[in-house]
Amino acid sequence: MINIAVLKPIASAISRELFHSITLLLLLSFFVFFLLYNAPGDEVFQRYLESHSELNSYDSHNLFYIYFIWLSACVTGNFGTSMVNGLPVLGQIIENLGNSILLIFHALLISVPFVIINIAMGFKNNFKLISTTVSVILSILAVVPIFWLSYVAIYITSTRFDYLPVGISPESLSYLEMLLPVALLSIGSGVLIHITQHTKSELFRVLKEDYVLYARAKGAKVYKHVLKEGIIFPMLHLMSHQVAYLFSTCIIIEQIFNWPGIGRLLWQATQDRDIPLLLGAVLATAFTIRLTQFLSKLTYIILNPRASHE
Amino acid sequence: MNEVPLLKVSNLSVNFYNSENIDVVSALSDISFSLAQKQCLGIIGESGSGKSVTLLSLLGLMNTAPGITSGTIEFSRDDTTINLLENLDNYPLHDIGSISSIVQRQFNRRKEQLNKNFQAIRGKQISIIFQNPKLAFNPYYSIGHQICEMIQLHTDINSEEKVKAKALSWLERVGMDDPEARFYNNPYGLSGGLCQRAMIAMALASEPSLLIADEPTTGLDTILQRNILNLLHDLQQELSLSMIIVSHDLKVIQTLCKDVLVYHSGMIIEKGTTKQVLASSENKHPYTRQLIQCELNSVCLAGDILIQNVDNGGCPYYYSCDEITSRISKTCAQSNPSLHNIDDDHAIRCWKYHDI
Repeated sequence: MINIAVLKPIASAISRELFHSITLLLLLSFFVFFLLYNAPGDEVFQRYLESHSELNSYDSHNLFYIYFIWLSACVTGNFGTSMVNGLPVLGQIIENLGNSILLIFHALLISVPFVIINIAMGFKNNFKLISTTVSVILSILAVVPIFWLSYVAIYITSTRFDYLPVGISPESLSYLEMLLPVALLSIGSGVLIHITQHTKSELFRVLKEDYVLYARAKGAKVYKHVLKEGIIFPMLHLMSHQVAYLFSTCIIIEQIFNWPGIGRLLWQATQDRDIPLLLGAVLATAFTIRLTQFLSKLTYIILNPRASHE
Repeated sequence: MNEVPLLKVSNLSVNFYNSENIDVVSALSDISFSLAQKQCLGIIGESGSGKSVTLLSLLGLMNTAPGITSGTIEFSRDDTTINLLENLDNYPLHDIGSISSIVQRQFNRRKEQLNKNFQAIRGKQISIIFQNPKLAFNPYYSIGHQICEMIQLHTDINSEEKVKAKALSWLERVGMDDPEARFYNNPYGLSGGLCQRAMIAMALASEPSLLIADEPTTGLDTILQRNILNLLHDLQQELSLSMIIVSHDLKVIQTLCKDVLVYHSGMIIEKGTTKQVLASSENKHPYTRQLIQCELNSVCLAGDILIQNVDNGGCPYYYSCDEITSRISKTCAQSNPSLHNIDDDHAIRCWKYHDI
């Protein structure tokens, strides 16, 4: 039941979102470049220019001029080469970003069945206790520092019982190996309990709405009517906003598990003062976060006929 | 009347906990009425007198503990009569000190049982129109989608095109200006009157035998009110529906209903035909008289009608009543009268008409 008339506001809402995203990324890139331009120590910016294949032939020091050349190089995928190992930045970023996204994606993915089961159990009298207990335990785990929690988890699962491997690498990866880092990322950062509790409270609010009462009065299944506003929208919103937070938590997890993700790359680049790599990693992370938010907004606009009128 | 009534409610009582959860207050007590096939029944009374609670009870939608505590609701269809309140465990009203988990669990069990009893009735046999149609439609789906859902749930039509055609025919029947376009409209894109029409279309799409209208015209302007009332009247004649209409607008009741119940503080204080109760000047409950006066003058003459005499067991209307004579004043203060038949089908709950 799709009508052409409804597609027009959706298209305009999407183009508006796209415009916002691009503006935001442009502002960020300028800000980052400006910081580099004004970096203390005379040689930092100069060294960066010399290392970049597109920029080293220009000797103008006009900020905006160099920025636009740099930006157009970035858009075509040229982020320069690393100052430490001389490899192109883009290749390293793509590889590491992929590894991080793998972790974050799974951490968010496991929250979906978890939240649904937890909420469903909350409605059944016999399972209420289990659902409450799980929530309490998760709340406690969420306030424990994540690096400490990780070492305890590794000690228990790997050292003590020799069940899971200590270190993991993306080349020979199995789901069993990913279980621990993904679970820690989702539980230890508090994302899981956050999503669960907010979705739950949102659902209870929606259940009191008039249209839910009417749905029951007309003999329809209630879950069909509350699914959108009570579960999908809050989860979509929360998950897309937790991505930024998960990227920063990832640094700790990646360090502990020796996982070559973008967090570790950033950390390493900061340690080595590898400016091109640092710049590229920051931009790539920002781009990914904005992209997920854009995609979630896109889903929201498509599912909610009102959104395009807001 | 030898015919089996469509709906027969007897001794229905509904209770709520008060705000501190330590005591129960009575929302409805001892409600009894019956509704014949094709009959149109009106319910009037002030806000908080239990009109909406009655309607929700008829659909088993009371969500707050303890809810329905006693009574029967008998519904007849195809020559079989079922009691919708059967198999409900008795609610332990006596051990209420606070809502313990046991009581809560018992309430949940009752709710499940209620849902099971009412599932076959909701939508299919009894449809409801809410006061605010914009809030009653799910804002995330189009009007057409929701009407189609109703048709798919409760009728035998199952092919998608036929369902859509049926929904469109209903939209046309309730007087939508452009059914094809409105089919894809979302509730927020419709005006109040159109939304109410769509609501009626949805309620009738399942071809129910009883339509309940909870203040169908409140919030609409006078011309639209008239339109909607005419529509309801025509549809009732056409489909030979039974209807229950709740309103505080006496004109609505007078136009549509043959019989009327007057509610006050959770009790029926007067019932009879519309002519007897609202038109004739003699033999009225004092409260009904005041309602009619307020309607005419838009100024209430006698004191504050919100003061209710519930605590000490007297007539709830005792403090506001201006027709207490010395003959009955003592009885009025001490005990609550029962419904007293003064005519064939006209009953009044007032000591004035009792022999003391």
